[in-house]
Amino acid sequence: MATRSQGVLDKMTKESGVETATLKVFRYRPEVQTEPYVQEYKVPYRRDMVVLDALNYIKDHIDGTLSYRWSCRMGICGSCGANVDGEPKLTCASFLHEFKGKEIKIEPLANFPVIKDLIVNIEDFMEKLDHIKPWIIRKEETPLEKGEYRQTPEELEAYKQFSMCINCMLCYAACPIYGMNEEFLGPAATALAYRYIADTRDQDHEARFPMVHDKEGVWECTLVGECSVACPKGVDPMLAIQKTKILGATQILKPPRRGK
Amino acid sequence: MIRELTSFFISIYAIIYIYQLSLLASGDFSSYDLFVRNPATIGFSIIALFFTLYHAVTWFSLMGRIQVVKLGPKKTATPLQAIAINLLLLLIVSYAIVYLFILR
Repeated sequence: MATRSQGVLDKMTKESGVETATLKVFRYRPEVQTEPYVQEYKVPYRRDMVVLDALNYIKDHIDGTLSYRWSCRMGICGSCGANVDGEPKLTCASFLHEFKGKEIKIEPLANFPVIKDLIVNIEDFMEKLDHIKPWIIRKEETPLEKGEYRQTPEELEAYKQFSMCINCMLCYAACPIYGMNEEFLGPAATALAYRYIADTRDQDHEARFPMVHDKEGVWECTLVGECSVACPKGVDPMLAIQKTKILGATQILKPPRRGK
Repeated sequence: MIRELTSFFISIYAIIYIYQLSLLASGDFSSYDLFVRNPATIGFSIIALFFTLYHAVTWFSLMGRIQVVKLGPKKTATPLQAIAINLLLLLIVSYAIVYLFILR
């Protein structure tokens, strides 16, 4: 399928003097060979290109067997996470010009089992998201006649940033604790749990305490902070984990919080 | 990730410190003196100090963000103000303890 922009790129490669970017991509094709290998590709370079553009160019023009996940190409779906030059990044948000003059190493997202090429198995993460009950728990359902739940701006501020998570798993790739211990609940799942604990509409945040205050929950975290550095949406999961630790440590002193 | 690296220097320093204590405990003060005055020991101790300070500064600078201090019904302290408040409280409580148990 040739789009207009691909036609332009093809024309550029035929002309001399076009800059190219070199990508060294991790390949793993279990149906062909058991050992992974690195394959080098040269891609015509334009200043506005991101790593995802380069991967798409490779798949369309050079090597159709290259497999990777992507969708929205604008940093909101969370599909395209990969280790770009050793750092967990969204490939749609990593500009090639940041790596000007260097070869770019593209590897699958760290700390996850690799299915094929850049595609990782995310089952563990999906289970953890489900595990922490990511929905509003009501002890008493408010009848419709009472109208909608209301929150002040301060009440919204308490949990809003933690609701911005796009489940891209870059934080899990960045977390050395998760790298050593797959049982660790991890940054994004804890941030999501905290998002509901801190929401005033939720009436039973203690329902999540057995999950987050498990020894594989927040207490595994040693405040490395790389999760918040890697997060492309400013969720700050490190902060969510520490706040959950404080809640756990002080819950014996406070009366249970009543939701609306 | 540098903060994680500091644990390496601190644990090596702990081993050196235990060794110094063992020299003292055995009564061999001249060996202890030689060991402590050794430029390598002093050099490593200075490096370990820098890493310890790095750990302490980065760790406590996060305190202001994590444990939010409320300055009244509407105002919350900035991270810097929160550290200052915590350090002030630490000094007051430390002085109280020293006064109650040592100076009196």
